[in-house]
Amino acid sequence: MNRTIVISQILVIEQAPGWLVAALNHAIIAGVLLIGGAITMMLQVWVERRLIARMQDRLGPNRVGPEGILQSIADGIKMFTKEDIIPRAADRWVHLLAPIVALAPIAMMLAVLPWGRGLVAVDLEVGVLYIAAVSSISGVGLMMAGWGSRNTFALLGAMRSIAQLIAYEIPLIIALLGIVLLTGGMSLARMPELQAGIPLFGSSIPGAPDLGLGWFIFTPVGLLGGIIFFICALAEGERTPFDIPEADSEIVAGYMTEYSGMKFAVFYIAQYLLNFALAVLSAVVFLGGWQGPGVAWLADAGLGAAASLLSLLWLLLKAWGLFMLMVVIRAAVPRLRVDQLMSFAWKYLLPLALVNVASAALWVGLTEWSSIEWGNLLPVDGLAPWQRIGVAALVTAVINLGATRWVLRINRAPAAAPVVVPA
Amino acid sequence: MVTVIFIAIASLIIASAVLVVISREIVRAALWLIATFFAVGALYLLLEAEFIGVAQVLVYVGAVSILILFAIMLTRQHERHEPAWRAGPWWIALAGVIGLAAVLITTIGAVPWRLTDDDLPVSRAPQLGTALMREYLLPFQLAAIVLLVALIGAVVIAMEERRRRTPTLADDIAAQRGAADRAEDGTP
Amino acid sequence: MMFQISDVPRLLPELMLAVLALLVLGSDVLERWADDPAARRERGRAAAQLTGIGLGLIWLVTLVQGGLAFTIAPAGAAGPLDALLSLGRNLQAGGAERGALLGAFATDGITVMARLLLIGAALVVALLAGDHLPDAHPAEFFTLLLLATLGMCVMAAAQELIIAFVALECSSIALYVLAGYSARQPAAAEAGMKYLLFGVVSSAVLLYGMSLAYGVTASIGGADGGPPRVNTSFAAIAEAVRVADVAQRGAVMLAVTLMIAGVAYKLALVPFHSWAPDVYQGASPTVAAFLAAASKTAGVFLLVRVLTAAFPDVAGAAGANGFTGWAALLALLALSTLVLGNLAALPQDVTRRLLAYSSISHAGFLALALLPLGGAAPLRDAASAALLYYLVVALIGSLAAFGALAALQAAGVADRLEDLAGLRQRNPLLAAVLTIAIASMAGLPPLAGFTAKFAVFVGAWEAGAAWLVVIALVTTVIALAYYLRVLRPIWMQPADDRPTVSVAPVTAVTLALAALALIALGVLPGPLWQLAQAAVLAR
Repeated sequence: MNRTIVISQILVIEQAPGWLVAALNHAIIAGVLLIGGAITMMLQVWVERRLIARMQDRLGPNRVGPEGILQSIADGIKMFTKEDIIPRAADRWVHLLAPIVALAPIAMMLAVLPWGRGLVAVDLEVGVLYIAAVSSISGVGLMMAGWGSRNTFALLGAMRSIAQLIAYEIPLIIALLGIVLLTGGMSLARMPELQAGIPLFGSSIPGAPDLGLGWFIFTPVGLLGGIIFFICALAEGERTPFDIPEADSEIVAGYMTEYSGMKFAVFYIAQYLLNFALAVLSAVVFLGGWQGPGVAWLADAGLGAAASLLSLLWLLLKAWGLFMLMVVIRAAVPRLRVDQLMSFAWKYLLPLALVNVASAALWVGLTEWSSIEWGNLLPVDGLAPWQRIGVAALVTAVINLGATRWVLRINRAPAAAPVVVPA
Repeated sequence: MVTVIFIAIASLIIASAVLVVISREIVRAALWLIATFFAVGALYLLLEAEFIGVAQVLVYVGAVSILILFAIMLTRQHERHEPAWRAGPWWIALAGVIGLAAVLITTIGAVPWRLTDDDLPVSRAPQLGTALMREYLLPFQLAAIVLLVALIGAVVIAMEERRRRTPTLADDIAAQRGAADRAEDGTP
Repeated sequence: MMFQISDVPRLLPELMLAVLALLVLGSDVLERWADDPAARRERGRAAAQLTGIGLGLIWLVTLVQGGLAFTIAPAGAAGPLDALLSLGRNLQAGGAERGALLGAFATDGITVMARLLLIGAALVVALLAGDHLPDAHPAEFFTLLLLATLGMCVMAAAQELIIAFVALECSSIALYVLAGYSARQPAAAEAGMKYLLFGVVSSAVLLYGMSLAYGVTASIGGADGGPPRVNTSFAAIAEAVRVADVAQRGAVMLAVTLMIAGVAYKLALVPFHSWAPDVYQGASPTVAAFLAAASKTAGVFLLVRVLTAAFPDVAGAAGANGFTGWAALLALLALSTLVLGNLAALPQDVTRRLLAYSSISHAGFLALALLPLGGAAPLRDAASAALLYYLVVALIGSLAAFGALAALQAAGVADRLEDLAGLRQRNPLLAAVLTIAIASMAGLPPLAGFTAKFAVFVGAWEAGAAWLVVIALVTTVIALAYYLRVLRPIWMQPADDRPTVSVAPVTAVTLALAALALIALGVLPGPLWQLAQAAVLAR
């Protein structure tokens, strides 16, 4: 990425050797991301508590600092000063390392996300695959926590969480796969760039203004994929209604049962950071990332820094919006049962995600292939790009709608037989 | 610089692989196995094979080892206990390993391996995909059949055959009522 | 290199096997599912019948496509049937005598032979399995049988490392499951587990050898002094080995050793044989028949492909001309297998275990038959034909023997030698089939086994391994002792009050045909011999 703004270049001394510059670059970017992550997490906790309180007709924390905004810092200090307890039966090292193994991969996820126009820490060619791979590592951390604690509730929680992670990872990745087909690559940095222009048609109509609204969510493929992805993200982040692994009314706190003090805080941070990273990822892949009205206009006017700032604002706005949606869902929806959780993943999300990938392939074929590649069966060469997109949108919309109706119908519960209770 | 990183990764791989073998506790061994897989993924990244490195982490760390851990935790007692069996004297295994290593190292070390990387056929993800769909189409499809075989095998081994529809609550109540009726009638 | 639609006929039998497997799996859903044993048997029967009919059809298609049954006349006057005929011609054009498909898949005479053998073996096993339905999941049993056959067919035609390995895994994984199919029975579970553990280790060894071979190939310049061919095809490996220097040849030999060791596990050659008796005894008898017949044949075909296509330049010799190359490795394996396999069979009391050891010793003969394949052209072709001949006879022999044991077990006869007492009175047909199969295995003159062994001995003798032939002759005589131990209770001991044995008609006809084939091939070896020679020459 030649347009990537490397923050540390401002600081680096001219004569420094190359490897030192590289190391400093990475250290500074990592520091910014991690400190930003920690601040974000504190804000998230505060927002969640206030919002839920509002929905439940309570006040929520409002004493520490203005409107209680410093409550999370107070909680953090309390966590620091708590006694660090390791159960006598625990597998000491596994128990100790588990929170770190759970947190590290989530911090690694932040590295490849495009935070704004040109604000990319690492532009990985296989970004989407990297996200999927790294997020699957944190499952190992949960397993270690569950096993290392020597506690039945912890082990149950870990098992539940792994079963849930595996079940929902598949539709999540397949939902992303549809977008990978549309963009023709797995680089996350390129995804927002391809979502410029106006809704649905992007920049395919000559002369149309670049509103930065060509988000994939406005296409039929992106809409279905986005919905599937968001549901799976709720499950991956263990948010209600998918918080079965730590269902406190059933198994105390799941894999976190035996953790206290700072180790508990690390799990807590990991969870909120994962939620935020998934929200950012949803925004990047489906909601145009940093694209928004005004970014292209500022960039064209030669105000690159201002455009980057505006794009960062747009991204954070979208991510926070999605996070608040998660919170509202938590307040509004009850927890699923384990069998409902599994059948929802395998019977609803997975078939729909597969249909969506087929739709995406059809979309690519209708918008990009020439007549020869269609074996001269479809005369698509005569159409303008925007006309082809229109046709593709129509076709995929019909397919996706039909598939959704079909999946809902075949999974409908059989008509309940009249239950006659013996007298 | 690259050499230093390579030595660090390689010694991590070897150390964790040795710990997999000598760990007394099977969960620890599985965790060291994960470390090995992860370090191998890092080695691929060092070779600039991004796709394979990330796929290594996704498949081996994210899927295979988690399933291994899952299987261990589902089948073992929760208490810590020493393994009940011992696989013969350890020095026989050690001698065999050293002998094999000697043969492999002397033979492989004698070969002048080609170390350039100019015309490697598939290194980046799009080329990899194209190769899978063209030259390697046949093994690719065959691999799909292998996965199908493994899936059927897993179902056959793990799943008890049962009637198609699981009994519903209504079925239960009907069965209970039938039993109650028979009890009232005095028939067994 | 891209896959063309016109390449489809060249993969026709394999594609048909895949489709049939999915058909069997899918049609099971439409059957009546219920808990009572009758319904379950009906479901199993349906799957068995569909598999049998389908396999028979595929076998015929393979026969016609290989140009062995009848050849469609070349295009002539346009008639009403011409469209149909040209379709037939197109399909038949996918048969033998064309270059490798995508450089990876040979469709030559040997492939046609291998397909006929393997699909035929699967057909016989499917027919026998009609009486031996598993306790649960019958459709999956036949699906796995079909997919294992598919893997074996591809394995026998592989011209490239990746295809060879993936095909081997395809058949192996299916066989692991089949060996332990009734996992509720401890013996079957043990058999499946043992087969899995040994098989996985052997796959790893094989894969390590393959990676070494690939690495060496990618490090050696081309024959014309150009850059190395970074390629996994056997042709590229052979080209690289031809110009390799001494150090590189050392690595190549290491690769060959590891690959032979990996396949030797599947063939149950002697240092790698310890799984075989337990698996043959513990698995269901039809699966044991499939393992002894098809799995072994496919392994031999894989070795033939690898050794002759990829490593002809390190063949070496195992006789007066020296003791080098893979010929020497095979000679050592053949020696240990012949001696230990036959000696270990002597004290066995369980019929299937005894036949398992006999099957191991037959693998020794196969190794002996593989020896001359590195030699010069006329000798090599004759030896290849002898190998094919031996494979056909051994396949039919082990299907007949294990099939007869399967029929006995289905009728409730226990599996110790004394349980066979008086079989000549209790069921003359089974007694005759078992006798013919065992006499053929022992190599008694009027039967096919004699001709096959003779051809193998001649090939090995001419390749210079006379010492090994002498040892093989001695072990053949030793083998007579334990073969007679099986025949003695059948013919010499009275039935006493043991009940008669009834056999299902399909099984009876299948086994009788197999026994007749053994007699016919022994009395009239000519046609099969010519067929084998034609297959070898149709490269």
